[in-house]
Amino acid sequence: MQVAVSRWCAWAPGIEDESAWRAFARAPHAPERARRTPAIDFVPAMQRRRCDAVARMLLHVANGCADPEELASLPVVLASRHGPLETTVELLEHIAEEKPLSPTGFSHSVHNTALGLFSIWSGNRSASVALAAGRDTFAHGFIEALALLQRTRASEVLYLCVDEVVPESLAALADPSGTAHALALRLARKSGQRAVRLRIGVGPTAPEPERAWPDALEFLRWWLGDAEELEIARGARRFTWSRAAGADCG
Amino acid sequence: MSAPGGLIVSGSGRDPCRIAEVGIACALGRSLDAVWPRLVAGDTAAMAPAQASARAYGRVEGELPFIQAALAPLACRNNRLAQLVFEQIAAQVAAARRRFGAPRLAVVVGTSTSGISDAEDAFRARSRTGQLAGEFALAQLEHGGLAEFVAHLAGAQGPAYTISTACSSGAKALASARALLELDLCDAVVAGGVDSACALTERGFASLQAVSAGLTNPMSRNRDGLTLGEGGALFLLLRELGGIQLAGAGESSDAHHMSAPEPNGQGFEACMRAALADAALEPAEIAYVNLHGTGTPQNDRVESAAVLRVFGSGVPCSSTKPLVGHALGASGALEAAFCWLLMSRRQGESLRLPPHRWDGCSDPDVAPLRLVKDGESVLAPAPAALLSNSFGFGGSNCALVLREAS
Repeated sequence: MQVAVSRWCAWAPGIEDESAWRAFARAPHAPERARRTPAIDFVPAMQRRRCDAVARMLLHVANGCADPEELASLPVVLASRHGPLETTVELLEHIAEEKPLSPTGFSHSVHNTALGLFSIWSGNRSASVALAAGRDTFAHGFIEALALLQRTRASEVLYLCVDEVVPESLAALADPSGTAHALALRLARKSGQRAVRLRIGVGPTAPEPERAWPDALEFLRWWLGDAEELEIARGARRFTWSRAAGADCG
Repeated sequence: MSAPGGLIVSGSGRDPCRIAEVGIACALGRSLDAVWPRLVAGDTAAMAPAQASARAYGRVEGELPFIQAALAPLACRNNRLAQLVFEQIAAQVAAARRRFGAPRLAVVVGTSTSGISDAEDAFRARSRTGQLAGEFALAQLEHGGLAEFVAHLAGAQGPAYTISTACSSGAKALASARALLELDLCDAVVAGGVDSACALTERGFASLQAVSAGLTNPMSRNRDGLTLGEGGALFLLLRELGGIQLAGAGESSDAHHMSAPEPNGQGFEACMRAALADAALEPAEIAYVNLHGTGTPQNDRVESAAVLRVFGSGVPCSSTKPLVGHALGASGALEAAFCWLLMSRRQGESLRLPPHRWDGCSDPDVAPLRLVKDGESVLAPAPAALLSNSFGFGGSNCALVLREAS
């Protein structure tokens, strides 16, 4: 299946609007390692109160690339390596100290928490999926977005890739390249000019150097640029995105 | 309509998706042969709490396999449970890998817990010693770790990811796996779900006052919550006709509340109708509905009304949660495996069904469903079709239809 990015919105600390992302695409760099989050003033205060960093970033980028009617109807995929880890760590600390758990904390510790909050805020009742796949979370989320397009027969899906910095207490165990970031892509079925195709192949025999910024942002950089292909290869798998050049052949 | 590989598609316009092999572990046993007789007998013996003071819990009994040293960062109880289940289908998965090649073998699995029980141990150790235990790795807590581990066991180099949408995870993993086959991104998928016992879910549901004092008593006037459990089911899915097919999947969101269903059950109803449409079946063609049936006051009221609206009161229904507990992220996969068992062990024109275990006290607030009685079979000549419901936190709903190939 071929798709095109019909709209996008991204957010990371220090790279917060379209012109900043276009500058990033020309000269990429790692986002700031800050625990800042977007303001999401458009979300009612009662709902905003429930939002952790992942949900705040998710709502910000979703809102930035669709109008309310679309937000209420698009099937949605959330790819997140760690999900609401801050909340989970708090629960783990309470368990270790034999303290009671907060029911709200527990119900907001599921991996699909931010999707649930998005669905409640937007009124979206369509199919939604949250997933994780370690370092290859972005590529697998893209695959799941294709899978959701396929099984819902929708013409477009909202693909969200969001992660927060790993909490301080686990930072020593985490990949050093993990920075807070959020990317929303509206992926529409498309063929012909600028349609994107994803190929999946066997990974490199030798480890490839890791970039200082997340895969989702590397994808955005490629989409905004002119390169024909983007390849992300590590471990067992190689993901290659390419776009059709030239005339639209329908 | 033709599929990418030029295959003949099924009557629904979908590619065929055969459930070629199933592995299972739950409170009823650690193999299909162990689970089958206890499932249709409605055996709740395994659910008795170890001590009178403890809550009922559906634990997988016995030692779990040892994880090879090379996979040490993934060595958590959840993955040991996954290995126990995977070993049952390992030979058939290896054959599929030889036939199609490792890059064409995918893994899509669901979990809500991953290795959180090991993380709990590590955090307890830290509160005593100031250090996280040496053997703890973040990969055990990452949901993606389950897919990575199963991909290692399977030797799979195709897509490998974990779906985590709370209690619909395992069901959605199957829906997603089928779509990957249709997209021709792979030729075989290891799919299913695994969830394991942990303090976080036990205490979390207790904090929501959602845990039953005794064994869960779904659909009863006296129901007072769920009983937890653990387990897993893994399937080998192939793009071919024959045997038992994953014939339909429907998904919806409630857009209502993080931990309570939308009271009118529109989301529940929408996903059942979508699954039927996807399988190109009418409600009357479904021979049995495996309910989500958690035994919480809200789920059972809302689910029963939604099932009644879709199917009427004629279809036999049961919740299998009194037999194995609510295995959360694995429950959708486990209950699909139960449906697969009922059809794969059909008795002539009849299917044995798992009885609905409860106290028999009906509730005027619960819609009158035809709950399966002890020893009941249903006349359902092949090809029969069964539906299973799974609803999760965040309002994440999924219904699956399994059907014998015609």
